[in-house]
Amino acid sequence: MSRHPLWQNLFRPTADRLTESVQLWRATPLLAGISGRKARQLVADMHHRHYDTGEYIFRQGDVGAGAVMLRSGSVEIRAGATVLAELGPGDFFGEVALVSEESRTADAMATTPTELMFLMRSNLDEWVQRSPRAGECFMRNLAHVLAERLRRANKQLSGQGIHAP
Amino acid sequence: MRPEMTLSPGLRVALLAAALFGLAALAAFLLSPLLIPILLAFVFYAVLEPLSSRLMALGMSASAASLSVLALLAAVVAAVLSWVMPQFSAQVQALQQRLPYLWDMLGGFIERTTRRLEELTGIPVEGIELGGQLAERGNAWGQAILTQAPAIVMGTVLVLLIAPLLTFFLVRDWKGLRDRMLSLLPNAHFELGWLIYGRVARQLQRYVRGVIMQSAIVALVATTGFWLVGIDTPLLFGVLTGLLNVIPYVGPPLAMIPPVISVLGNPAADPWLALWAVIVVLVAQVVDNLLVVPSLIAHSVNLHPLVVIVGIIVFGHFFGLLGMILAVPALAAAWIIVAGLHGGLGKPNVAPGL
Repeated sequence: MSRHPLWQNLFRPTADRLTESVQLWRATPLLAGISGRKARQLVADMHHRHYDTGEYIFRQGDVGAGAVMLRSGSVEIRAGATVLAELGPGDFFGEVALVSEESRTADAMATTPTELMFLMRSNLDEWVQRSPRAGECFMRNLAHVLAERLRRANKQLSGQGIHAP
Repeated sequence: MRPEMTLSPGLRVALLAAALFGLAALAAFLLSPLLIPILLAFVFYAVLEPLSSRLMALGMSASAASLSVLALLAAVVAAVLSWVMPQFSAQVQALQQRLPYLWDMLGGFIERTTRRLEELTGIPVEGIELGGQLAERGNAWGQAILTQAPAIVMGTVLVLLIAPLLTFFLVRDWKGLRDRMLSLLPNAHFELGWLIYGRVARQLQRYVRGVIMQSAIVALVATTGFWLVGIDTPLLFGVLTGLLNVIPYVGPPLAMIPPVISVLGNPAADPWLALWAVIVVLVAQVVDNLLVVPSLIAHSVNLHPLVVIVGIIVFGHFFGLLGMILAVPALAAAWIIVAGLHGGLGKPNVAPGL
């Protein structure tokens, strides 16, 4: 059934962009094992935002509301003057905020004109409520991602002669 | 070049909060004729949303899922009303018949008291006829309220027609509308907007669901109590006790008045039943405070009792009974918004030198 464009949600991503976004997310470990239909439902609720060069996405100490993926452009993760990571299209960050209302531990700044997709905790909670099984799978994947980040951080600290408790 | 004017974080928070609350007050004023159905629709939405979400996840369209949950709600309401309404209307009629006796009795009591006062003090007390006048006026007033009942019922029916329509659109479209509104926020405050929305939505949803359960439990306890002690209209007063319980501190004492008046207005009833009616409301309160509040309500709002009491009085002054009911959730939401803005505003959003 065709719908008049006036009544369509102008802020929703169009079908092609949505497919592209779903492919980007399905390439991450977060959506491993989740069906295409469920992944599409989750990605359709995400929010696309554009950032200029030098614009902060979040600051250290801000309370996080969701995870972020780069569609295009580049982002630096910084702690003070130290650049911790340089991220490009398909990379995601800030996923700790999907679990709890913790403060961000670093700054994230766009280094070129950048398009981002935000997965908000509120949207994730609603999706998990609608799809408990897929939600369980997502949470397991998220735990793996966080454990892997922790393992890498420990390794990095050990390399610097600092041992995590 | 003119230097850029900057506001201190505290002032920014105060201005933004004032603007938000001003907008909310303006919206409440403009929508005042529809305020009750809108609020009722949001309460229904809080209850029905999880079910409609599950139906949509099973592949049902948003419209079909919204219609389905609404049909379910209508069926439940119709079943409950068809069971309760005949008893309810019989109890209202019984109360209507007792009102003349009640006002006569009250008038007689005042007359006897003033005469006794005159005898004891030797000073003539003006308004010896006060009792009789009061009885007449009170009788007329009580009858007027009860004869206006059909108009009140019509108003309620209108609300019951509009509220489901609004509920349908809320269940179907609320999330899209919310996403569009939040997408209007600038990049610097986009996450903060979602953070505050998430906190407010979670708290209000918990509060609404908790209060519905709380009212139902208190109504059940009170109805059972009134029935056990032998009060004639247990369902009417039990439901009233449950509904008034929504207003913290003020509601329970108000709930004692109707059953006490009813007992004292019944020439055949034992006057000690009035005391029993008060005890039943107190027992319902004990059950509520010891069992229901700790498990259902305690974590949903965290406001100082003084703030709650002042809020109820102020909201009650401006918006009547509805304001008293809304005071607690409105204050809780306002507190989250102010705390969220205070914690989230005040940092520059562009790196220095860029």
